[in-house]
Amino acid sequence: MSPGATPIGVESFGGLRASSLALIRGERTLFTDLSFSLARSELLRLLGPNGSGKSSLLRALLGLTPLARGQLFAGPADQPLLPRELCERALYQGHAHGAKGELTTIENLTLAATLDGGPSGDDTRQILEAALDEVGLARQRHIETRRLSQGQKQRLNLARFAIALRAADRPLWLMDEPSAALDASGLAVLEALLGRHLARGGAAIVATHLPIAPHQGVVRELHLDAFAPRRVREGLAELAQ
Amino acid sequence: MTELGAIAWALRRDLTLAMRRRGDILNVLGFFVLACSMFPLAIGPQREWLQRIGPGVIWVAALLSVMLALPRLFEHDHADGTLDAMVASGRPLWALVAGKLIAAWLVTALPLLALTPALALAFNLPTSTLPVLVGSLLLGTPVLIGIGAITGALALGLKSGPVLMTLLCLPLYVPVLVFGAGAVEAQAAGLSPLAHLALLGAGMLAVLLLAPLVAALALRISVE
Repeated sequence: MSPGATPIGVESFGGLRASSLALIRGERTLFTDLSFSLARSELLRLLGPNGSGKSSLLRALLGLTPLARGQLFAGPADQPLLPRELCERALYQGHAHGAKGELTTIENLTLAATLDGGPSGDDTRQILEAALDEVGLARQRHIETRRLSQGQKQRLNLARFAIALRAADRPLWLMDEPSAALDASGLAVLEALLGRHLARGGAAIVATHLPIAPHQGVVRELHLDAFAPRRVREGLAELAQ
Repeated sequence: MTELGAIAWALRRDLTLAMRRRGDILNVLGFFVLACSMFPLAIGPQREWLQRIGPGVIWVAALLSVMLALPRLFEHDHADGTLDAMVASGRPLWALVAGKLIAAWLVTALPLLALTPALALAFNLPTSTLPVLVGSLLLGTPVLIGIGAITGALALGLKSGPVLMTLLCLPLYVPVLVFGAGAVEAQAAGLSPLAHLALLGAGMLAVLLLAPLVAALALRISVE
């Protein structure tokens, strides 16, 4: 964010609308004519078989992957929005863990939280430790991340979102398979975080195969295979049989 | 986070990581020292020969050492997803790259510079050429790292990335090598090294300005 720009808080998030998005990877069209809208306190659950473009859609919304067609609009005024502008309002968790194995849990979280625009005051340390406590990593805080299990790494990612609830101005959460490798209590943490985020007026787009039931907010589903080009759709139907 | 904040974030992060992976730094330093010290052993103790080839050998060894370290600049970040996180954070990517480049220079080039006087002794270089040798490396190594960052960002994630990077780098490195070693030779021959050093300095300024921007652009293409 450039200096002097007003921080965009959850309160000012007026929703997101995507209109006729199309994504082509190499020679394959993943989806075409995909439109959806997302209001405050809504969670959009991306569904579709492997390879239907769930991760690519999340990446495309952030400008990590270019869209072949389509346009994003934001806010109550429905202003056109460049994917890169969405980056400043979104908190993204990709399918790679994005943690450095040589650094400890708390070091990785500090780095990630700073990049996310997290806390920077005197109480930073407490906020980070509280977040680790919340996701159940309090005892692992001084352990190198490479010694953590897959599920614990996933929990470390969740800690970023726990911090964002307290400090960062990131009203849109984009999560790519956040439930992968999580156990039952981890899933409960994920749902609790999403519930609190939706309750404060945030929104989320989550690609996941597991049903998610946050305690607050509205969950809607978006089936990506419905927007696959016809040839692919037939192939996917065959796969499903 | 302002641009300066982004530079500081990346700089601190990469320095911390380098301290945890000290083996990587020692690997580069070891290569530099070994490559340089092999020549006096192979050629024999003829003072004039060593003095003649010394600056060139030290420059070539420094160049190869930097190349040895450069593929790692973005590769780890790309593989573990932190590069995606940096791009997706919405922070100015050029500033994050600039921080990484400063860290790379401090970690790879600065130790080479510190060892250069000792290696110059091994080649019996006259002490009057030493400031020019260190100065030329001081101006030249940022150029090497900047060019390497751009080509590394372009070749990132490709199967033959390291090979492609070497092929792209080498022709661009030639002028740096020619002017760097040339400056020391001019000094040794009793001429002014200023022309060479000025060209190196101009190259360094251009790279300081352009490398973070161009490498950031290339990274955006590579993460697609």
